[in-house]
Amino acid sequence: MERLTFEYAATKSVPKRAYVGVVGSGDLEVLLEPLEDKKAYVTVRTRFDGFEQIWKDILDRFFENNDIAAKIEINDFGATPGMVSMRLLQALEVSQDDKTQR
Amino acid sequence: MELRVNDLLKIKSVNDLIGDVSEASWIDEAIKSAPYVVVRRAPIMNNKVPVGIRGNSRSQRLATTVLSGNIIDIITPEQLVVGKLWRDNKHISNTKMLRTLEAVDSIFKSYRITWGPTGSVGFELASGVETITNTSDLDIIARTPEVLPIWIAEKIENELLEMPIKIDVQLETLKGSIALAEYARGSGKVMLRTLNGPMLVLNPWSDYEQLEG
Repeated sequence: MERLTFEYAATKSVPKRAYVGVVGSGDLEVLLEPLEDKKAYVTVRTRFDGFEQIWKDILDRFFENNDIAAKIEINDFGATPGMVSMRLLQALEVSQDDKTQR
Repeated sequence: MELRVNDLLKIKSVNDLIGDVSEASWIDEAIKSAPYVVVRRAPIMNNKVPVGIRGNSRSQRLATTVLSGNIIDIITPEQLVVGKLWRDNKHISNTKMLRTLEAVDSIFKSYRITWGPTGSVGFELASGVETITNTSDLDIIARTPEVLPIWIAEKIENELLEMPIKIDVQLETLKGSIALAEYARGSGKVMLRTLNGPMLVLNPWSDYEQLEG
C-alpha cells in the first residue's frame, strides 16, 4: 500500500465536486473538489507499489492541459495509465457540467 | 478458434511465451505450477495473442503474447459455471467464497444472464492451483450482448452488494466491457474498455458514438 502526494500551481477554478470511477480491478475512483487556493493537491492511494514516476507523468500531463484549482483524491485498483487519464478527464467534465451527474 | 478477453489458455511451457521473460524469475515457477495465461484486452495481431501471467503476489503480473498455435486448451469463465467447479474445490469448501459463488449463480440465472468468474477465483477453478485467499474479491464477467436496462443493472448490483465478498462485475457487450457498478448509477457516460483502450461513451452497446471519440 502506497500513498503518493503531488502538488501543482493552478489558475482555473472548477464549479463543483465530482466523483467518478469504481472500486474494481483495473479501475480507480476519482474524487475532485474545488479549492479556493490557486493550487491543486492530489493524493493517490494504491496497492500497487513502485509506480510513482508513472503517476507523476500522468498527473503532470493532466495539469499541463487543465490547470484547475482542486483537491483530487484517487483510489487506484491497478488501472492502466490510459484508464487513469480518461477518469481524470471524466472527473473534470462532470465537475463542469450540471447534467452529467445527479 | 475464437478467443475472448479473460479466457484462460493452457500452454506447454514458458518457452511458448513470446519475448524475453527470463528477467523475472517468478515467471518460470508460475508457469510450471499452473501452465495457464489469461487473454488480455488488446488486439490479436499475426496470431500473437495478448496474455497476462499471474504470479503469487500482486506485483507479479506480466503482459506478454503467445502464438495461437501453441495454445493447448481454452477455458472460458462461463465454462467454470456450467460445471459448478467450485463445488469440487476442497480449498474453498465451507468458506464465504463458496457461498457467494452459489448465490451469485442464482442471481444471474434469475435474470437469464451468462456469467463466469475471472481473476484469482477463475484462475484457481481452472488450474486447480490454490490462488484464492481470505481477502480475495470476486471478479466476474457477465455476457450482455444486448442492452441491459439500467433499472435491471441497479437491481443486480443491489443484490450483489448483500454478499459477504466484494464483487466486481464487468458487463461484456459486443463493443467492450463496462463496470456494472458504474452503469447501474445511471449518471451519464460510462467507461467502455475496448481492445484499443478505454473510452467514455453514453451507450456501451452502440457503435456510432465511439466514432466521435
